Amino acid sequence: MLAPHTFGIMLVGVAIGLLVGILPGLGGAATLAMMLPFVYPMDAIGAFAFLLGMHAVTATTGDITSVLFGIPGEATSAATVLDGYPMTRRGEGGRALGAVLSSSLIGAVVGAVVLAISVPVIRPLVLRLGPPEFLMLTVLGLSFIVSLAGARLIKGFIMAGLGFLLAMVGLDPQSSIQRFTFGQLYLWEGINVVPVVVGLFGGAEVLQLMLTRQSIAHRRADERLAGVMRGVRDTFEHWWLTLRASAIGFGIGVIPGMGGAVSQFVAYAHAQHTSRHPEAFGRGSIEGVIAAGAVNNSREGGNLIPTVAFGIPGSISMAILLSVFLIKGLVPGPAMLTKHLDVTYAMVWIIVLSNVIAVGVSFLFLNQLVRLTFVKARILVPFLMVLTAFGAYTAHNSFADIVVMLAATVAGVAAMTWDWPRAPLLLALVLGDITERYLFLSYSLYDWRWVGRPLVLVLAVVTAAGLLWPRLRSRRDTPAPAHHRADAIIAAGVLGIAVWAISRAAAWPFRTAVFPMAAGVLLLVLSAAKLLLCVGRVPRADTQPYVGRVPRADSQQYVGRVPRAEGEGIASGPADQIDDLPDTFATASRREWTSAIGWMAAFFLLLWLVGALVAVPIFALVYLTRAAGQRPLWAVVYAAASWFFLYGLFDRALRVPLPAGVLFR
Amino acid sequence: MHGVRRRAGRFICALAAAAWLPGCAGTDASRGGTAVPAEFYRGKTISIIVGSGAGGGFDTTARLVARHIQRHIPGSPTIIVVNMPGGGGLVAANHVFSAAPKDGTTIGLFHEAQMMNQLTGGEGVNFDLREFNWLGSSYDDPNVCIIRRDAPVTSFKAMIGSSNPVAVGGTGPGSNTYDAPRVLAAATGATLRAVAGYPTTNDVRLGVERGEIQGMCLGWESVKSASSQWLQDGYAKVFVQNGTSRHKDLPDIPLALEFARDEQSRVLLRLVDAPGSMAKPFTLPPGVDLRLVEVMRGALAATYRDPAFLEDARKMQLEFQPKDAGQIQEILSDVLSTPPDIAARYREIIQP
Repeated sequence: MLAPHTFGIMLVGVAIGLLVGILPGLGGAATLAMMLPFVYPMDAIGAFAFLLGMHAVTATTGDITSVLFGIPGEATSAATVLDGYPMTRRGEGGRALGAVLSSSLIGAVVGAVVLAISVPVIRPLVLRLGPPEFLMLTVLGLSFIVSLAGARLIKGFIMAGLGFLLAMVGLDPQSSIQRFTFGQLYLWEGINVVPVVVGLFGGAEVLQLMLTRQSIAHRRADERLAGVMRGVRDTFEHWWLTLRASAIGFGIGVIPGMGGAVSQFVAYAHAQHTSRHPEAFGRGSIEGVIAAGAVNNSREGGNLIPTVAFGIPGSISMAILLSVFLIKGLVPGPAMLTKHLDVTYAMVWIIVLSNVIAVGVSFLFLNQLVRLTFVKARILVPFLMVLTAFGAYTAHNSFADIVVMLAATVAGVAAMTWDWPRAPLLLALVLGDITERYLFLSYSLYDWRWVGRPLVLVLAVVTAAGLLWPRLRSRRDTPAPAHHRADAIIAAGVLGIAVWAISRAAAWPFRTAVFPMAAGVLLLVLSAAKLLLCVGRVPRADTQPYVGRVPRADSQQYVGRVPRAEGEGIASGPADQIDDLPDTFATASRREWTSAIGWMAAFFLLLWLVGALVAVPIFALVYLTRAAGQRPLWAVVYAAASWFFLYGLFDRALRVPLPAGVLFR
Repeated sequence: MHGVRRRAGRFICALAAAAWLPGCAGTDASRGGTAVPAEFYRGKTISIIVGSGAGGGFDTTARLVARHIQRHIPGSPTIIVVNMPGGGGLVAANHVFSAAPKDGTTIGLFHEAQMMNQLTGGEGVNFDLREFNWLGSSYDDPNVCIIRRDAPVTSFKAMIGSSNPVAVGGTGPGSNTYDAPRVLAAATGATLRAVAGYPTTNDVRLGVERGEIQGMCLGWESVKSASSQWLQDGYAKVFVQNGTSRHKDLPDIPLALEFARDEQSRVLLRLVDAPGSMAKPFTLPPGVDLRLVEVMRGALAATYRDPAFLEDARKMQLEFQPKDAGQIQEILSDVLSTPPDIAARYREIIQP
């Protein structure tokens, strides 16, 4: 196994990885590149222990911030927010963390074991999967939009259409023609998923916290660590789901060019698709948490396959690991299975051990971490605001990232308030451009003959079966989704976007236009349909602007998202009644809204003007004393600590570029 | 909670110490014989703005240089690498040209193919490459094309006028993996079919392994560092090289120029090869104090001669063949004075 000093090096790597995972946006790849110089003096196995140990655990701690604060620490932890955060708000943060950590560990072990077993046989299998098969896999992934949308089918598809349109932004890879870029250079590369995820989920959650006077968790759970153990038990009770999600992570990890965000949403959607309680997803389903946790750690095993077997990295992180191979004089490829088999198997051990350690360490701190969700939420706001800002900023080190994040925040708040599902948008965003790319690549290579490839046909059948299966299964009546007056306005807005997109696409050559056009037409039809439905069913006497998720007794139309009084537990066990969470967006007064939005605008304006090192402490000081009602001394300490955190850790130690103010240029 | 904070604090300190360590070790600053006070850079931070994301070839080169150049700058400033991806280096080039501070603390490293973008009047070009204060390039990276040995046709001569097209994979217009075979085909009549749409060159390599394409065109340095095993095993071979003279590593491989149809074709082939001859160039923005420019030029040149640097480069299978500022300016003015009709023809060829 590993020599003691190698083990020591791995511990250092794991420690860094844990920290990086918690810090938003400080992605695994950027950190790997930063740490690369340190591996020169190490031996080969030591170097992998350090870097792979670091890389393998970032997803684990990335999940922790997703669960506790609703802000994904990594792009690969976004789906964990969907159910993990609602559980925390219910006071079940411990249970959610227990489930996500234990499923992460199982996922990592499964990924590593499959890597070890499959290394000798994987080459021919990987070579059978070409662009047409990748295309069909993305189509399979897109078919899950149906499950993600659930009872809100039209809304879900409209959100997916918007995601698809967002995926088309940027230079068309076929012709380099600009699509929907408004002449902005920033948009040429397309819309990065990280700022969108951070805004859609994190930004919206922070705003929600600013509107409340309470803590994140709404019910004081008497059990904390007991909850953690319960989460662990949940994972084992759903062992079959854990294994399937792990398999998805590994399988998508093998495919080059599919980022971690893809596998997580696909696994999440698959879990919802196959669940007996799909309606609980998005409101704190333990199954959603388990699937999201298992998938992103099993991915590492799959990711290593193309690197080890072909010497061809499937992701940026793997490209950096590959350079370590070269520095250490190892030649990836067949020799890794003969001459350097020890290195290959050391990598398997490193993945397993580093994950065991990471989960062990996380369990030690869980108690304190969960406690954070019971303190007054406004105390956390400056800290969380920094997480969202930096999480977005590190995508391109550009303030435009923060602007995208804020736009996504607005969309996220609207989606939460009027019950538009957010997950389909993200799935379409991460899969849209890959689908287009592989369709044209398949066509360029094979004309239409690709359709007849055996694996393509198999995948088509699997997709069709997956779509038909829920129709064949007898399903209980799902509650009718609530209608909101704002739905009509949103649908009209989407209609406008669709018309605009179609008119732009009409001027482009065929190949450049066909996907945006298809997305535009789809949106046009769906939003028109939604508009007609809304007009036909205007809720009477609805004068309240924010009819959120609060179920109202007087009208059957407002059953919201809750199947109530069915006397039947959801997800797992009778003790698991899903209460509706108080909807802050619905209950906040106009003044509270103005104040929260004002504070948020002030923070980002300040950040833009004077940069992070000045803006963050000032905001912390003022916000804590004025809005959170904290004593000045405590606010000063908080502000000073935030400055040291930024300057010491980000600016000096990690040398991460921080937003610099325009005034100091 | 206090426990967490205390432990976290200790951890952060340990990390900070680890990150500062190399900075503490390298203090033997060599003296540049210029009029700039040796103390100018002491305590300052120099950012290398890289026009692509972490982990790619540009990033690797920048980080390798960043690790060593500090020793050769008087005052031993801190060097950091900042990734500014976008538009194949366009974002970084625009930034370094106009927005970046002109006090000698910002160095740019972006794709040399931006010269073709400027020549063909590409959108978003808000700079003139000739006005940059170039420090030096990193590699001599002529474009070559490789092909699997089991392909139906493997010699370039046989490809000319052949009815059996060879498919070579690429990422898309603007990248030499796509542009080079298009120009090659147009200028020599070789039946090369360029397939665009692969996400990265690594995906192109996998495509070659799968056999859906027979080969690819890319820089010789990239072939050596990423695909040398293919050549050693006899799995694939280089079948043509661009450039004005045969590369010293490839004495038996024909030049595309030898098969050019006419004079215009010869100019086109020289154009497609020009960026590779000054690959991965470092630059200071226009308007920087010329004494500082000289200091940095000297520092980069000294780095490229530094045995410790060369040892690291060798381990990463990188062979630095730098060109100095004068040579870079020569290439740029040569390319950018291409007659408009040929530039237009070039643009037409690379359109899919």
